[in-house]
Amino acid sequence: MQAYIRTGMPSGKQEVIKLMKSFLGNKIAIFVFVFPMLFLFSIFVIFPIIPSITISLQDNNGFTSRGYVGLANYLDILKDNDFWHSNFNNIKIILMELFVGLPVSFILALLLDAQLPGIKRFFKMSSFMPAVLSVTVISQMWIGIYEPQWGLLNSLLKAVGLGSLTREWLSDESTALVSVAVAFLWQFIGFNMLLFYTGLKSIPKTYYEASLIDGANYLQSTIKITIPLLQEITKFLLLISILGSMAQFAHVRIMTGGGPGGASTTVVYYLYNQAFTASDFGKGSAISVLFVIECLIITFIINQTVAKEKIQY
Amino acid sequence: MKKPVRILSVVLVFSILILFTACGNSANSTKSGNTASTASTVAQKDTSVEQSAEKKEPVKLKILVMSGDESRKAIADKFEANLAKDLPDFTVEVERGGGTDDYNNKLKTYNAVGELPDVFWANTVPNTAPLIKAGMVLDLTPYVTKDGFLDKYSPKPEPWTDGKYYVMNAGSDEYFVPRLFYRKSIFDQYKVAVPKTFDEFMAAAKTFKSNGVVPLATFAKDGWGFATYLFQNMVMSDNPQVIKDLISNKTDFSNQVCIDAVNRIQKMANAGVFQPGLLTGEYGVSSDLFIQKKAAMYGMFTWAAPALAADADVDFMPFPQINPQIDREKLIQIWGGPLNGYASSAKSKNVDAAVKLLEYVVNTEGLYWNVDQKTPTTYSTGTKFEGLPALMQKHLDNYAAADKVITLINYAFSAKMNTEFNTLGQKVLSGKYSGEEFAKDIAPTWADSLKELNQ
Repeated sequence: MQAYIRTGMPSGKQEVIKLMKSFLGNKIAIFVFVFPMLFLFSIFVIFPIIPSITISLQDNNGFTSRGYVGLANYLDILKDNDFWHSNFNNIKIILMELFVGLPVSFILALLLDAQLPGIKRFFKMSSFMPAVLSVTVISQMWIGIYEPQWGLLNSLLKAVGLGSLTREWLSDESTALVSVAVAFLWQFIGFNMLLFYTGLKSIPKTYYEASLIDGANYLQSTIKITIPLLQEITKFLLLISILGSMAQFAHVRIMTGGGPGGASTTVVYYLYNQAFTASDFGKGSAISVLFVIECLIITFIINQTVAKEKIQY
Repeated sequence: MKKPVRILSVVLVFSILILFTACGNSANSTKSGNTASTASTVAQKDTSVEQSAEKKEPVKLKILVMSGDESRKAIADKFEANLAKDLPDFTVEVERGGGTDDYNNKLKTYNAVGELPDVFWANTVPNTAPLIKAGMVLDLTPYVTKDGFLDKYSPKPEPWTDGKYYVMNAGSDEYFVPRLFYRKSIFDQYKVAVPKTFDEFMAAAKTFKSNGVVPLATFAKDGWGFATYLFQNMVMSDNPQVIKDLISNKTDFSNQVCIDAVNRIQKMANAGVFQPGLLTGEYGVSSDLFIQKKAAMYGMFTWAAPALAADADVDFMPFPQINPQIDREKLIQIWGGPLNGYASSAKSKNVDAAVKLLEYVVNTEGLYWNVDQKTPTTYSTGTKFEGLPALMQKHLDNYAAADKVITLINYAFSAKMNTEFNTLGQKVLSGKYSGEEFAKDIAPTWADSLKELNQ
């Protein structure tokens, strides 16, 4: 009872914390716990990069290697308009994620936070469902929505008198990529919303009470308190969203096959196309190496620029 | 406190090591593990135990087959259903490799780890020629000539460029011809005569479209329809020699006949000749449009004919004429080409048994086409074709009457050229890409392809 009064927690809990502190101070123990993950990561992530680098220096058709060609594959790619086009498509998807996907998720999280408990429970559960559904199911659903003759989108446009806007969304060069990106964003908006919502719940209510006393309105407290204090979550979401957008493959493969005429090809789809369809594993591996470098650079930039210092009020 | 932690650390490390050791396995046990885990393993009937004084172990073989479409699935079903009964001395594992892309990837993986199946489907020149060059494919010539298997073909298949046979098939591909199927009732309803020229074809399409009927349904996802028959037939209707000249490198895609052919397809796309969603629709969507009488015409190879033959409303027409001197009744394109069929691994531990299995599957596939699909094959199963549906009979009569048969041009392409041809074909079918642009963009890949295949 005495301990509880002094520290605000039961003495049993203190014992546990003490034990954990001593345990976590032991480097060997940490290594032992981390070792299985590091081992598997090395085997399945780090190790496959090594043969990829080797193959990227070869003229390799997937069946046989016809010898080393130095950096020829890399030079070919850097001169390849299709590679830059697929990078440009990746940038478009990332921009959509940054300026549409994440803001919408954030707004939805704010709306969810203001709901009654029952409604919250329902939306927390249902908004997560698309993220756990198979990409194939999601893609087929969106193919149905975009279907030019009887699809939901064109039917809706016709119903509200906007028939002139109807088009073959996935077969039109100007809309194919955006259409695929929308399906991708939609799938993860609920997931992102929940992460934002979790962040909102971790902000102490006292900050909002103080701001209310100071006369701040909802918008001001959102801008001055909520957004800054969500920086850790935002950083994490930026990382997974940008890297997820860059690695976009399955939706493209199922919905458009990269078409029409390469209009919706992303870097990873282009990599797949070069390696597995055009049987140029040398070039495909070189693209994969460049892709890894791109991802590392982006991760570095985000780590260096976002949430570098912890904000405390 | 430190002591229990150390003990715990040691225990954990050993646990992990034991765990990984348990996950691993020797090469032999992995192989048998794979065999057991595959659901499609065909067990051998143990009927000869009593007759045989010394028990003979069945020969274990593996076959990798394509299984992307209904026909390939049905053929794989037949293997699984009959292998144990028909080849009692073998235990054969039948692995379904999926559709083209999945299959090719699987084959590449098997080759990369040095475990090509005893028998596998060799899937076109770009995927098979490198394997032959690497010495991975068994030369079947001494086997199929000695046991008389080759004599069962009429006409005999062409050997590969080195004069050897590496691949044997039932020869159904030789009879698969792209046709323009049409519905007589729809043509009658809108009083449209069967078009003979390209201009008549476009006029007919305009009539159908204005009446809410899809003029021509076809499959073109990933550029398939463009690459497999539309381009080639547009060229053939103008000057078939150009296709032969392309294959023999006497001309290239900047040939005006090629440019005009692409421009005609672009014109078709812009005029709404094809169904909406052409570039993303699945195979079944296009056939359903025709079966459900929502499309007046259906562009497809004759492997679709057996399913359509029961409908007396369906007929087919020759491809529209462009050059009046070309008789499209007597000029056809076929699907068949070199290095398409069953091959055996040169590294098989039971080469003789593998060849026996190969010949068995060719025969079984022949029976599937001859008996189940009433489609002839160049390999003879002894089946007589009597009482064929009118559509099938017309196809065979037309085939027999053709004096010029040109194989699919894609067999002269490298894998990269094939991909580029399909991708640019998609652009053409989108209606925003001309023949001139096509000729310019395809040129470097075509040059690389010729260089690669000449090597």
